[in-house]
Order: sequence, then structure tokens, then C-alpha cells
Amino acid sequence: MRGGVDGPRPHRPTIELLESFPTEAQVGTTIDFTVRVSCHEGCDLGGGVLEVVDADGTVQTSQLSRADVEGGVVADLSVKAPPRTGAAKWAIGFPEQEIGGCVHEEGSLAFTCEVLPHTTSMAIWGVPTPMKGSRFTVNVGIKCSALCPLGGQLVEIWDGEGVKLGEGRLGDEPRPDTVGLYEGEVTLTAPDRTGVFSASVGFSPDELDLPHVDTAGDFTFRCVELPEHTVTVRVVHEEIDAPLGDIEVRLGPYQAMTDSEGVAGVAVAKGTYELSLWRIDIEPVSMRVKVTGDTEIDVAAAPRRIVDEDEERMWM
Amino acid sequence: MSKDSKKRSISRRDFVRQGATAGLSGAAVVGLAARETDEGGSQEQWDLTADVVIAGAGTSGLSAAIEAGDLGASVIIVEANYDCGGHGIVSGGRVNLGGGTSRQRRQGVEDSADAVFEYWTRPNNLQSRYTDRDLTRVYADLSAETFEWMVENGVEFLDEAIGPDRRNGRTVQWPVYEELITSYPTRLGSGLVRALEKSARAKGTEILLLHRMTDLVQEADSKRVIGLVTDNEGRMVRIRANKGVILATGGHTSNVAFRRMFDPRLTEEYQTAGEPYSEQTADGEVAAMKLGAALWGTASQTMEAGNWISKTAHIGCQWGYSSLWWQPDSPIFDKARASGLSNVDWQNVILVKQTGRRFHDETDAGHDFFAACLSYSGDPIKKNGGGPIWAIFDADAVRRQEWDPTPPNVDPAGYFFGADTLTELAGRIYNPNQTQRMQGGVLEQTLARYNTFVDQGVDADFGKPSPRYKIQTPPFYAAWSTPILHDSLCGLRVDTRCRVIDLEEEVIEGLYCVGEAMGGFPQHGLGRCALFGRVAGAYAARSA
Repeated sequence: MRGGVDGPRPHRPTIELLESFPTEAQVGTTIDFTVRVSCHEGCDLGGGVLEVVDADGTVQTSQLSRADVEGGVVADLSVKAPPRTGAAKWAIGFPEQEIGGCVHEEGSLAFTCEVLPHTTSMAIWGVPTPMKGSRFTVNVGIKCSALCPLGGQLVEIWDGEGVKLGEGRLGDEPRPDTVGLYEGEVTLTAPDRTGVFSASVGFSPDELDLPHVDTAGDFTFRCVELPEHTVTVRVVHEEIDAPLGDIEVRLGPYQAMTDSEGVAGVAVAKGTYELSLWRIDIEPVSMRVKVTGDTEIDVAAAPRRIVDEDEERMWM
Repeated sequence: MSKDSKKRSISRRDFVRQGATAGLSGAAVVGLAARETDEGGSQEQWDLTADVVIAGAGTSGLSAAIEAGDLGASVIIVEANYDCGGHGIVSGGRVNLGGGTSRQRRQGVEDSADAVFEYWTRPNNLQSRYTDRDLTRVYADLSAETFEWMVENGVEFLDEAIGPDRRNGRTVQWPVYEELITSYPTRLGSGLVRALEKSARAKGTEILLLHRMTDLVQEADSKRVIGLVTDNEGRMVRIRANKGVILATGGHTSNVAFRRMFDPRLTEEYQTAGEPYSEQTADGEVAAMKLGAALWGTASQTMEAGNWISKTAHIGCQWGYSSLWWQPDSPIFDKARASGLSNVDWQNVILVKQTGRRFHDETDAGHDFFAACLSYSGDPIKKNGGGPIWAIFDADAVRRQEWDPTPPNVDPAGYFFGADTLTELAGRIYNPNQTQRMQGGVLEQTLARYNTFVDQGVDADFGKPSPRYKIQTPPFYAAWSTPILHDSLCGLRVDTRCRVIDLEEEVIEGLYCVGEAMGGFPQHGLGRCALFGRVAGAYAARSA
């Protein structure tokens, strides 16, 4: 080792980031990084002190502890993005210090990052096929990219002309089977005419600790005539004549499920419809039905044939 | 050899007579000792010697070995994999052989070689339109006999015969559980392959596993192929073939560079049925082409004439070929990683490209569907190939389909993702073949538009018949659903003795090719593999 406390000049340290610092980070998130400090004269800087200074002047002290294969000593550090958006700056300082009998000059390294608000995303579900003029509900779920609690936040639904159709508040707990999706229910009134209508959902978070980006989504719903008649559909297994429950029965836009007796009562308006049955293990059934009054229909459904592609192609 | 004799077709009678008259006198002892110097005067050094050396221990190679062994030849098979079987052992055991088999007679079906020939040369069917008529004649003439030959060699068939003239049947799954690669009951090819393996070994065939053929060896003066070189886990092994080398390496579908010669769209994102157990690496084709071999029957490949690509039947796993359903009890399940979500009703999902946009009616499974899958993906860098295809669905679909979207049913290592919102889902999709990030906004727009089609009852974009279900209820899922490749429909040019032909239309002496590496008869299933394997084995065994 050259130089020492009696030497003519102190040693100069080099400070480097071992991987690139992110150019962007969301508010409040923790950014991990690793710094290496080495001495031009080859001193072992183990035990040396580093200071991390944020934009507010808060100083955090760390110790260089881990030897690096390239001759320096590294420290694993972390900083927290500030709770406000915009450019953020940090500085790593290596204060003048004596290590191994040699004085090492002070050094520093500055780095910056653009701090962004949390993003939010949305799901809209449970959209029914309402009767014209009826009240119906829609489920809206909002999720923060950093899993912030969103309970109590407002969601609003608007039509295409900017008229507010309804609003609701997100529940206090995330929806089961999700990770941080907060769910709310919004009640709407269907238009007084039939057709397919569109609406928009808006979420502009308010009074959260950290800034969040607004989010929005669109959905459509089909508004149908009021039912006048009941079509009773009875479904049995084609081969064993047993009733089939949990079959989805559709008559155009109207639908119902069969019960354990294989019976579904579908309330419909007058008209001609495609009657279709579906369950994963039966062959789909489809037929045209004209409804002029209450009607009963018996259907035999066949078990679904699992098609083996090899079987279809084996000779050609 | 004159061109006349070279082009002479083999007849069933000739095949039987000539094969039967080949005696034991030509047999050499399989050498497993120190390197030998070639007796022909060249300086070739050999580690092993046999009369007939076969590359590939699948259906074709094993059939060739049995036939050659029956004619008194000593046989070595080299196999790249750790076990025998190739695609055959993980296949459905489909065997297309007719022309008057005992099975057909039992079923009361009259059939003939001429009827088989006529069937496989029909111009109004893509798969038969492009067959080589000379090879088809061989197939027709030996079809019935090969069926009986299989039975004699221990292959059991299910008591059924299906298809036109009841020429098709399936073999019985091999009963020894420990010798199966996958136990799902449709993998009946094990019954064929293990039976042939047992027969071949009993008749003296030496099978060298983990020996991948890397080159053919040609005699300097005569250009006759006199052996091959293998790589045995880093060790080079040179094997002399006194009578002939038979390439039974199993086609080219896994070799991206090779398959793209026929169709530039078939880039690396397309997986191959049979993998991860068996790869179709084109080793045989590449080695022979280095010697000037010609390709043959490429119209079958370029005109998409057979079972070359399939819609995935099991989504959310890397290999979702319809009847090859990897189960956790497979000895290679650590490679397959997931079984996939099966029995897909395509009304329950939409299919999107890597951009997050729909591209076709999901319920279609025909040529138009595959053309749409393989169409330009919009990637300005990678212009060929259609990119990954993802099935997008929701919690309601999971309930309706009665799926359990967790491992080992799905593969979260790049082939299945779940999230609470569509934006989050798009951001999570990662796969080595996903060359651009899916944008959450695009996926949201796609779903919103599709859900409108459900309300309207009409798919205004792609004509999916009566779109039935909205995709709206969290969690949302993305499952790998990129089409999977299957048969190689072309390969090396051979004559009716399965001798490889070069670009000058001359025979490459000492070199034979069978199975999916052979061009000119792109039939799906194992019948043609066994049949032409027998032809090559017989002619190689009795060659001078």
C-alpha cells in the first residue's frame, strides 16, 4: 500500500452503480440498487461509510460490507420514491474517512428518476340483459398498481352524451379470489326502448395518500322487451331419459337454468327465437321457436362427443 | 445399375421371394470391440460394425430392423433419445393398412391392393393428390401383408376397423406401465412400438440409445454410403454398415430452418406434437442432402395437404396437441410441465394475437383459421410467423368449463397467466416468442368490442356464429393457444426400394430412407412407417 496518514495526498475513491437506476418509478415505491466503491490505490474499503441523501435532505447511512470480485466493496441500498410526482434526485456520498490507515477523499454520485402516480385498472362485470325501463346493477372493480386500499372510493357511470346514469362506492375489502381488486355495485335504470346501449365508467380517486391516475372503461348492454309468456323447457338425457339440471337455456336474449328436475322457465316476449341449450358435457342444441303464449318444450340432449382430431384425420 | 432397373417397382411377390431368399451368409458379427480399419482399403476407422445400420428407433427403424434381422442381417440401431419409440410411442397408434387384411375379412369387407392404390391416388383429395404413384403402388401391394406381419411380431389391435373400407385401426396400449412415456389411454402407439422393439431385440438387433447420428460416411471412390457417425453424449462413435444405412430419423417438423424452406411462416413459436419426448430434427434429411440427396413430394407440404398443423386442444401449456395429453404420471412430465385446460368450447374464449387483437372466428379449425393464425402479426422486426396466440377468458368461463386453472393443469412459466383486470393481464404476458408487449388498452378495447357483439348476437368482425358469452368477470386469464405442428409431409426422394435418390436422379448406393423423413407418401399414422421400414430393411439386408 502506498501513502498513509503521513502521505502527501489522500486516496481517491470511485463510486459506481452496479446496475442502471430506473428512469421511472411510481410514488412511494422502494427502489433497490447496489453501489460499488473502490480505491484507486487498491485499499480494502470494507467497513467504510456511505450516505444516501434524498431531495428533502434526509440522510441515510450505510456501511460498505461486501467484497466485490473486481476489487471494490459493495453496499446494497434502497431508497423510496417520494410521495409526489415529478423528477426526484438522490445523492450517494462517501464522506472523507480513514480506512486501513489511509485517508480517503470524499466522493459522491447523483442519480435521478421520474416519479409517476400509481396507475389504476378496471373491470366491469355482471352486466345483465335488462328489461326496458327496469332497474339493474353493474359491478365495477378497481385495482391500484401498488395495491393501495381503495375502499370507499367513488365510481360513476355515464351515457354517451355525458349524462350521469349512476354511481357507487367501492367496498372496504378486496373481492375474494383477487389481489387488491376493490368492488362496487352501481344501480342503473334501463332506457325505455329496446336495443344495445353503451355506457362509460369513470374512476377519479379522491383523498388517497398518494397520487393515482384516473381510469375509465366502457360496456354495453342489451335492453329487451318486457316478458309476456313463460316457455317451460324440460331437458332429459337422450340415452337414459333422466332430467338434466344446470343446463343453460336461451331463447334469444332471454335465459334461465334448468333445475334438478331438468326444468327451466324462461320468461319471454312474443316473438320467434333461437332456443339453445348449453352445458359443457352435452352436445349443443339449437332450434327455432315461435312464442305466441305460454309454451312447454321437451328436449332430449345427447352427451357431448369428444372429438379426437386423429380420429377425424386418420385416413385422410 | 441401369436406370431401368433403378426405376423398377417392387411387387408384393418379388418382395416376399427376394426377401425370403436372402440367407444368413451375408451376416456380419456386430463388432463392439476396438476400432477396425475398413476392409475395403480406405483408412476409415470404425468403432462398431453391422450389416445394416439404422438411424432412429421409431416405428420405421424398428420395422426395418426386424425385416433385416429376419433375413439374416446383423443390425444396429442408433437412437438420439434416451429410449425407443420416436413419435410412434406417443402417438394414437393409428395404423392405416388395408388391401384385404384378416381384420377386414373378419369385418366382412372386401378390399384389394388395387382399391388401396386407387384411393391413395385420388386427384380430388389434397393428401392423395400429390403422392408418388410408384411409392403408392408399393404401399398398396404390401399393405395387407404388413398388417399380418405386425400381428406376427406381437402387435395387438383393438377389435375395431374404421374409416373407408375399414383400413384403419388402433393398436392396444402397451401393458407395462413402466415402459410408457405417457399413460393417457389414447397413446396407443406404445403398443405398436414396444411390441416391435421387443421383437427386434429378440432377433438380435442392437439398439444404441443416446447416439445421435451426425453424419454419413461415404466411400471416397464409389460414393457408396458405408457407415455413419454418432454423437454419444460428446463421444464420437463411427459405425460401419456392410450392407446399408437406413435413415429413419422421423421428419423435420422440429427443425425451424428446415421447415421454413417449405413455408416461411413456420417460425419458432410453433411447437411440434410429440415434443418434448420426441423431436423431428431433420437429421436424416440434412445428412443425406450433404451427399446430394433430393427432396421429394414437397407439394404435400407446401400445399398444406395433410395433418401438418392443428388447433390446440389443451390450452395454457406449451404442447397442446389434441390426443397427446401430457399427464403428471408421465416420466417426462418435468419437461412437459403442464397438461393444459381441455375440452375447450371456443364460445367461452376469444383468441388474440400478441398485440391483443382478435384475428378470426374462434370456432373455426380449418385452413382459413390457420392462415389467419400465421398471418403477419404487425411486428415490424419479425415479419414472418403469426406470433403467439392467446386464449383470453374469465372466471365465468372457468366455471362453465369446470376447469382448475392451476398447475399442473397450466404452465405459469410463460404459457398461462391470470390477473384481476385486463390491463394487468396484458402486462403480465411474457413468453420468449412474445416479441412485443401486449398493451392493456388494446386488450380492453378488444374485449369491450367483443362483448358488444355478444349483446348484438352478431360478430361483425369475424363472423363467429352467435357469440354467446361476454368475457367480463375477474379474474381474467391468458392461455397459450398457438397452433401446433404435426406431420412432416415431405422428405427425401427414394425409389421403390427406399434407396435415396440424388439431384441427378441417381441412386446413392448404400443409403435408404423411410418414415417421415421420406417424401412422396405423406399418410398420417404408422402404417406407412412400418411398411416402408420393412421394404428398406429387406432390400438393405439382401444387398451385395
